[in-house]
Amino acid sequence: MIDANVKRGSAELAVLSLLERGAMHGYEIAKRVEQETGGVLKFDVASLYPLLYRLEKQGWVAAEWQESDTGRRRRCYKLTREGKKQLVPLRAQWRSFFEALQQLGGLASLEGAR
Amino acid sequence: MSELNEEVRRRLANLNLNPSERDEVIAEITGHLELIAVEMGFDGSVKDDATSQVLAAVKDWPKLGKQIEKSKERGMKDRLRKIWLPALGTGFVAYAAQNIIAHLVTWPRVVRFNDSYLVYSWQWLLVLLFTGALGAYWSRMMGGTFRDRLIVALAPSEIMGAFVLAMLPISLGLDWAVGRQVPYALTHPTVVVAMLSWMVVLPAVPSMLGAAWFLKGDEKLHGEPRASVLG
Repeated sequence: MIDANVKRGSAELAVLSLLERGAMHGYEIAKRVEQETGGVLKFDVASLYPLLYRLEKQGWVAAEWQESDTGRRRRCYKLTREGKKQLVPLRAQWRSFFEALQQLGGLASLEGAR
Repeated sequence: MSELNEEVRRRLANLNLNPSERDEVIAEITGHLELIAVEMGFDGSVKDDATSQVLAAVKDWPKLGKQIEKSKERGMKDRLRKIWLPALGTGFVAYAAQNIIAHLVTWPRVVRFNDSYLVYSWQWLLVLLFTGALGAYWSRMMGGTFRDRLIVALAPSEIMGAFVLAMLPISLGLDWAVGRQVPYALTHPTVVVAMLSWMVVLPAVPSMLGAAWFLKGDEKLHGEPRASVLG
């Protein structure tokens, strides 16, 4: 089980990385994150929308209402240029964080023993 | 309005956002819950027991409301980008144009109206069509809401309104000092109403007309085309 704070910190990276591939609405983001992390990361309504609105306020994502094939209106989020810029240092930070953990926690030897 | 939408609206009734923003949040969360309902095997119309099961996806509604409010709280930088800079730019263009028209093209017309004077320039009113459009477009490009765009488009009127209101205490002071010797002092209600009408309401009309086209629609989006996989 991963600590809640780490999950919270990684949520930003998860959403921005996902939106780098194309625009998605909130439910779709939640589903994709869950599927692609094998359920390790999960978003519910209460954790997803405050994060999306914060990213929107920061100008990292932009949203617009679009009509889906079923005729329902969905608010779709798209990565902005500023968001793309922010993603680069964010990825670098997380990479160095994991590398540091790997050295400290001996994750490399665990990996080798597998 | 669906039962689910009504329930979400009721549970987020205390959401302290402007009405259009609140409606947007409610519609978005309802949409999300509808998709959860479909996932849970309920059909499109979510009723009775199904509604309560779907609503249980949010454990603490008041907490969600607070978190949304906090995440949408606008900082100074945001207001500067969406309101202040476009409004100052729009006001500057409008009053620069007014000066150019007054000194190079034609003097404003002065019409006596009972005991007051109406000073106007139709050329400037035409320019306000353009500045209204400019302000609304500028704010929209920065991601401004309908309200932000309206505030920016009406900047020339707001600047003049602020000036008139700022002059009021000065006029009152003058009036008191010279013992009601000033014939057109801003203290007389008719003069105040007339000035507000001519200097604030009249310029607001072409500004609004010019802005109308850009008041609707979402902010311009940058990035790749949409690639959606789910309904």
